[in-house]
Amino acid sequence: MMPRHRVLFVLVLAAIACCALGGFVNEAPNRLVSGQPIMLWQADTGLSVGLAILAAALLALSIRGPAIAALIVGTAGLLLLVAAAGHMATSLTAGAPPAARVSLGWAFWASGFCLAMSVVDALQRMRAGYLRVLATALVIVGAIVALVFTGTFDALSIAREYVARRGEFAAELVRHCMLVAIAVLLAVVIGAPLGLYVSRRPQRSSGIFGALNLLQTIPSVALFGILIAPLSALGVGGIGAVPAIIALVLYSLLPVVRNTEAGIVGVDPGVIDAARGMGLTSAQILWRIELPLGLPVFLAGLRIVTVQAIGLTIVAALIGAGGLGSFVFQGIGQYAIDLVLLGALPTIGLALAADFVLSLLAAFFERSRA
Amino acid sequence: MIELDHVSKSYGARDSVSDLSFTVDKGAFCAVVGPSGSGKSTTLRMINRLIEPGAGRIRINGEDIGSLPREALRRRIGYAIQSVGLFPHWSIADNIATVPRLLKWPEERVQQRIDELLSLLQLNPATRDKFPHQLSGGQQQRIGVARALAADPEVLLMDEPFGALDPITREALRRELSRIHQSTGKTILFVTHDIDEALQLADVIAVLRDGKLVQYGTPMQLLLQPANDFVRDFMGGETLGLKLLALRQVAERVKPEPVPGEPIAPETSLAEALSQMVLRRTSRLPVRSAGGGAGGSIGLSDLVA
Repeated sequence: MMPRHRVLFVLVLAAIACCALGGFVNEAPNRLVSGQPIMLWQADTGLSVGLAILAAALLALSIRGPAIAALIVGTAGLLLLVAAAGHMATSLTAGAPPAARVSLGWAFWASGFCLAMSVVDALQRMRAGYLRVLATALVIVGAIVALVFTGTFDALSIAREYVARRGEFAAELVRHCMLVAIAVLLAVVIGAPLGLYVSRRPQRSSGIFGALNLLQTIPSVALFGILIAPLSALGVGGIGAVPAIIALVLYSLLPVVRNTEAGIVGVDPGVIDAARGMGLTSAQILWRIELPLGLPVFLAGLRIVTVQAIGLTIVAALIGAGGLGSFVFQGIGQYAIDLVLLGALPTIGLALAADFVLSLLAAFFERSRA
Repeated sequence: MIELDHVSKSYGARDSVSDLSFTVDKGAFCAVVGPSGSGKSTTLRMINRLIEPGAGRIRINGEDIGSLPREALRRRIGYAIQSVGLFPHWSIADNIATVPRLLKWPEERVQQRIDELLSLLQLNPATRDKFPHQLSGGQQQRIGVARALAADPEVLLMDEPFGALDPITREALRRELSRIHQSTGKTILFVTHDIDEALQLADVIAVLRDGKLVQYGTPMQLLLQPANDFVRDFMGGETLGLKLLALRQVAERVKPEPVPGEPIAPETSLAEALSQMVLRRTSRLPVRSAGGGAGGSIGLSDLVA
């Protein structure tokens, strides 16, 4: 019998295979050695039986069943998987020396990814609107936050790393967000008028877009490095927040300029002709017609730029700008993978949240003009 | 009244419009016809200064339009185009209210005017709060015409406004426009490449070719005395006679000889009477009397007389 929902079927089989073959968590005597893999079923029978039941239910739903059921079972499976990791860590570290570490294994990440994808697949099959996607995201995030506060993950190595750097973490998270916010704001302040200019003078566009494209091709590490010498010469200082923000702005300009231009150029010429013919001034056409109609395209550019800047700010830690990247590079230096994760996971979370909020905003403006 | 006085416009070496002069009387419906590239749209767009004339003068009611601020001039002139150009993010009411609000009419008067126009264009009052994409092409163009009429302009400029519509909707809107022209007495300049549309709607027709005025006259003058072969061909060549019949009414030719059968109305066009003769396989049709007395008839030979 062919399963009707092949994507779900393959995802569940892959998740089961990962848990059967790979270590779900790694147990090590201290944070620097890689330790040995522990399989899901080795530590906790109750949780693995629960997960097996949910996996079987999802397999059955992939053969035949409504998307809403797959959504609920998939979400439950994802949350149980996360809880299982915390639970295994707690039982493995009980009675072990304090230096002993339990970190997340590749089977956890791979099967977690598969289950998350099955939730996304179910939402797409339901043709879920933004409200349902938001509700699902809130349930998952809310449940994980609740698990964090009830101490489920306290025994995991990544939580130990967090506890050791609690104050530092909050400061770097705020710093990361500030760097992104300032860079994106500056990119909009510079890029939006530039995009407007290019839309009015198409003959200048190839030169400006050529320069901005060239900037995009410079590898980020190189751009951060290149800025050090000229900025030191100017007396601004080649390291720290200023060069990081300059580099982030340079990277953000192309999408902002391009989408501002595309939004304005994309307005139906008949609409502009009618507006001019009725006696609207150029300024009235810009503010009342072109900007509101170009806004969704502009917001799409803002979304690209924000997500890109959140990721790039990691690299900015290399030139002493701080942010979550400092954990990543400290972790790489110390060969402490969980410290890398302490920087990387919140960055991914920030990027996903920014992407979601901005696409929600774009959809809102799209709908208000229906 | 619109006067074009030796108006020219060239792009590079090419003349788009050269030395164009004609006058459209107050309250007249003037169709500007000609093949593609003959300068029809350029002529129209020079009147509201979307294009500035290279040479010559254009006057509206004796006033040189070059002496007026551009935006103020445009707010006095209605403008409707083939692509309609309704603002997609504004409701129908806001679209119609565009020019009255630019002219800072009191809001109460704006709202009243929106209601008047919706009823003039025979649109459902519920259309008010809809958005352009919720309307059919024909309804959108009705709104386009309503928007052009909103501030009660002296002059209405229309650039192939019905060109993109299906034949049935186009015919309905032509009748509507005819009715509006008769009831409001606006001076209308109407660009089209469809000679039948021009013959049906216009009091006076300007035929353009390569930016020059070839002939200017009433539909009847153009059909009976075409200035040259170009006009003759443009007016329909072989079918010119049928177009003449379409412009005349049965009432002009009716004879007091009653015949039996279902009578046709005296305001029926001669073309339709001919069509009826062919359909009924007869050479003489009964005609209802205009006053209510005894009817008459029209024969095949009366059509050509």
